[in-house]
Amino acid sequence: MVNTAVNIGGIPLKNPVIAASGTFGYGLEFSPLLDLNDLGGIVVKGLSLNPYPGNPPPRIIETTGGMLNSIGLQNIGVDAFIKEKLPLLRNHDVAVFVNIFGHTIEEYVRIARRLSEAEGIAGLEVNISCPNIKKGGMAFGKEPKQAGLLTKRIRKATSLPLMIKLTPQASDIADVAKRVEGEGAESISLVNTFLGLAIDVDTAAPLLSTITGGLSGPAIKPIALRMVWEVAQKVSIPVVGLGGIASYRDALEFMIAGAQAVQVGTANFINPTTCREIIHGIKEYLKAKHIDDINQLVGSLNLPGHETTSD
Amino acid sequence: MKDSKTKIVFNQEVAPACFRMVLSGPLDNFIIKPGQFIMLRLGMSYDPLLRRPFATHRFKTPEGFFLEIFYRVIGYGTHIMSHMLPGAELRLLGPLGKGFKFSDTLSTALIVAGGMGIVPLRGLIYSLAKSGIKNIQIFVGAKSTSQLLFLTEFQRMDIPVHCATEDGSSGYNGLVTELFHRFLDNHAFKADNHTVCFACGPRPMLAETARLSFIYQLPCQVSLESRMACGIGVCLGCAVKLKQQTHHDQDQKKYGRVCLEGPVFDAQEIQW
Repeated sequence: MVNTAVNIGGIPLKNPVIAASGTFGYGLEFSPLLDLNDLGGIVVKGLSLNPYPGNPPPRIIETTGGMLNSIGLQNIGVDAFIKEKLPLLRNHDVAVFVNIFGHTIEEYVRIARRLSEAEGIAGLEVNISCPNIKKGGMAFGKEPKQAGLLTKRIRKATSLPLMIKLTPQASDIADVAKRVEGEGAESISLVNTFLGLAIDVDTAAPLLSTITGGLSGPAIKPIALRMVWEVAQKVSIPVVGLGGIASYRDALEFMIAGAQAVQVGTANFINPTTCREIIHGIKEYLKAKHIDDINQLVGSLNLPGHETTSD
Repeated sequence: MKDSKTKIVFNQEVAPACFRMVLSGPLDNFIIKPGQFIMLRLGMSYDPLLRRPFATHRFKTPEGFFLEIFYRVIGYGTHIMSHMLPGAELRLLGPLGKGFKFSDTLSTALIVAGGMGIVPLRGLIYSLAKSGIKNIQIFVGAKSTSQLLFLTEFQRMDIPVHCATEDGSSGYNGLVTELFHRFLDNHAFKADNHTVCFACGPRPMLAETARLSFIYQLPCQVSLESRMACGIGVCLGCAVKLKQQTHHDQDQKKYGRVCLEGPVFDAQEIQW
């Protein structure tokens, strides 16, 4: 028997595979296709204090090996989630992370308080990295000072473990990571999408209503992996890696680079059973390599004779 | 809804740049209603990345059940599809979305199709005919005669087909919505309470059909197309703007998911 259980800042997961926010709805949508109990965790679609309509269409466009999205955090609001979705999620043996976002610090604090009173939430994933809303979101994640301040305020408002989701748009993502660690975050997840653009040359117009959008999918994986590797060396809290993971080998790369768990996003759209296949693949890999605990793999990047350009 | 493995058994051009693809697989229990759709994964690589949505129709032969789709080669994904050979395996997710609705009391069905919009309506036409709906009128428009699909099929079913082509190569010279407008204007046609319009095609054509059906007080169902990533309501990429129904909604924009609340919507629900 191999051990696949990990612990992400006080939250035990039966395996390190988590479905990423915005790609898995409120979880229940996948029930006909996948047993939610098989997953290590799920992060539900980003919630705001009040329901949010999202951006006008067109909201998505495929690019080579990836997709740009500008959904604009359409969601049912924190109260509807607690009332309608959470009771059904409680029937499953899976760690439920709730992704939260706000336009102001005060909004983040109020959502965090509201969710603290609810039952069945393992932790909060604080979205300081969405590129598709005009105010708030990514604005907090680009500046270490802002990110730190926000973390500090939310930390005071809730006892739920906090996972801060970082943006690759930060000029120094490791700096942001260190700052949120210093303010009491239990873990960090990275990366959210990369800001991108696609143009219809026939009309010379952008293909998204908001001009730019967030790039996700296999296309971003090498950059995401490099960032996870850099950040994992600088912080001591658990790092959850994401960005273009679509197979168990992708997931293993992130863990070897230093992630204690991974999130699977865009791949859920392409193949709704990706998470289950990744978990299976990881187990087979561990068996074949005679590794009896997945935690031995974390940060095991083999660097004999390599010169790193980091620092 | 399930995700299953299917195999291409036929994939050929049946009209200029328009292909018919036939899929085999475990389809005995695959019940798909007219207007519902499937998502096909075009191979196992990440390019093209996302599945593509298609209207489909199940049919039976002595060899069993098959699904057929029709697609026009317009972009990268359909270009790749046009080169796929029989024997290739594709993942198929479905059935998805909400289809067309009609009741036994329906007396007249007015079908309005633009270009490839006839494809999802074809299954509906079969279904209407099978239910014994006597009066079915089909209005189809295309750029040119060669792009008018299924004409002989509909004629064989004795269903009146009114054609419009933009180049005038057959039928009315102009847009199908103009032809439809003339038909509604004609005193020979009287809509009753049990007349329903069903439409699919390019967005401006649907907007005009919605406008006409509103003026003539006809219930109208439209099947919309949108780029989508998942097909099951989670990516929220396929959203379309809906009209604000209540006073309460006034300061709140409202969107519907083509994949889940649609692809068939009441025409008056959509903010055109």
